[in-house]
Amino acid sequence: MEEQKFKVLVVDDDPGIVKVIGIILSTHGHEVIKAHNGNEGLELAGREKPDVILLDIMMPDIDGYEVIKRLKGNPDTAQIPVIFVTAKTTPDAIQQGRSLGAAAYIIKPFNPETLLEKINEACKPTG
Amino acid sequence: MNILVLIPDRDKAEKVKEILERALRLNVEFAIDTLEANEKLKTSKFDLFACFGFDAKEILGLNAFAIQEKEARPAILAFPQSEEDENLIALRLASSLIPDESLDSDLRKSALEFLNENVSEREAGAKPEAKQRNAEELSRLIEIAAHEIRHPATVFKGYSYILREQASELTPEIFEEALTSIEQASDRLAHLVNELLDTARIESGKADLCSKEISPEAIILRAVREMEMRGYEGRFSIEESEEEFIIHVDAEKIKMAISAILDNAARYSPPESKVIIGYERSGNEAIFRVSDTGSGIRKDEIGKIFQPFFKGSAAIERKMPGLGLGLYIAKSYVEMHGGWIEAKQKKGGGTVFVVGIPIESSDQAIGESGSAS
Repeated sequence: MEEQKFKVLVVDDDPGIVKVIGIILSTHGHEVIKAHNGNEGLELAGREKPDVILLDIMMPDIDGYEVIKRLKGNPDTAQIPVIFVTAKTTPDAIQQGRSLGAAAYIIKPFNPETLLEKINEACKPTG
Repeated sequence: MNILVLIPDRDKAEKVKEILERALRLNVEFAIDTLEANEKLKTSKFDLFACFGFDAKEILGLNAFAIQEKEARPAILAFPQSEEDENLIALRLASSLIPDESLDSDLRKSALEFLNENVSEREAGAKPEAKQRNAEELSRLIEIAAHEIRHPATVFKGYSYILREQASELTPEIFEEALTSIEQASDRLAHLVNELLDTARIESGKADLCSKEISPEAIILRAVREMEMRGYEGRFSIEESEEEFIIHVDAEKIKMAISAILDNAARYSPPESKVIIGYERSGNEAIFRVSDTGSGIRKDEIGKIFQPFFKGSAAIERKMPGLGLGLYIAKSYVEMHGGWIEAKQKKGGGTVFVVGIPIESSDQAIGESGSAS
């Protein structure tokens, strides 16, 4: 598989999860930007213009659903693909994630190879 | 026949009385009074006990659990944990009346009839909404547990991939970080499993106590050491006690109770602040006191914090990990020793948890066999 390098923003309030995702991605050559809550994620998304955003749902300040709504509502960030990476497993939660425009929905614990594949798919040029 | 029932909730107490009067249909004098789980019997309630033929002096100063232990006769029933609905309380009362040979046979017969009717009704599923509620509750608890287990599982899965596929690219620092993260995730998982198992043992009445002589200070030092190993180094300040003495308790369980309180205090207070723990002797009790300068507990939540799987709004807002079992286990273990636990808001912010463990009666509570359940 051809390995493309992307700028990935990881938004999760759990430092242990951010760290392990960071190592997996950086050893595959991706550039990793880390945010530990929703507000920080929004700020970094606007400033850094990542290629893709990995987004947790349950976070203390604003949750992942609200973050993706704001991202999609902002012309500067609306086109950035968002992948939910979450422990929320109910069909309702997955449906809600998809209806808000997420490119993929990954459930923790995830297979790292699946995560890498989904990032590649999400960043593929369309059209 | 006189029956005295002690329940914390006044409305529920009245409903139990109604059910019992209707069910037993006999000349039974009921007295129902409120007694909070941790509330100790005061002289104001003396007359009530005396009317019902009990020696109130013997139980003065005891809380509802200890009264229940001491007055092991069906005519006095204390229900310190009022989660049960009034029908269930009435059922328990009826079932305790039946085996008592000293009671009037008509009363026993009546109690048996009441019991049979209600048990059959419950077994026949006459209350589907209760079944539905239980199923929903079970589902909620499983979801909480599953969610908590996903964190360490994600860490294990991630690092096993890194170590297998990317080991050659790891710097010594990242390698060390990986090992530390795996170790922390293992500890977190072990802690979750232990909490679930402790809760199962408590709920099934199979939690045994193994008593030994130990000083309160030794228990505090063990609890603090355990918390420091969990990453709370330097967060605790131990106050010196004026008096040294020995208590006879299951040291491991009381240490777990104190650890759970320390854990709660450290989590919900600023990282740079100190949690203060101390102990003293008060009459026949060892009193442990844990004080923090955290955000405090909301008034409407203070009565719920000892319930199993309860997570307060602060825990939810800050997405604190954990099952919400620590304080429930702490309370259960303390009460198994005939003790009590309470949480109070501090003036100016913060919370103080106070635990009382009987010094002399802890032997009796544990029993000569070294186990109680």
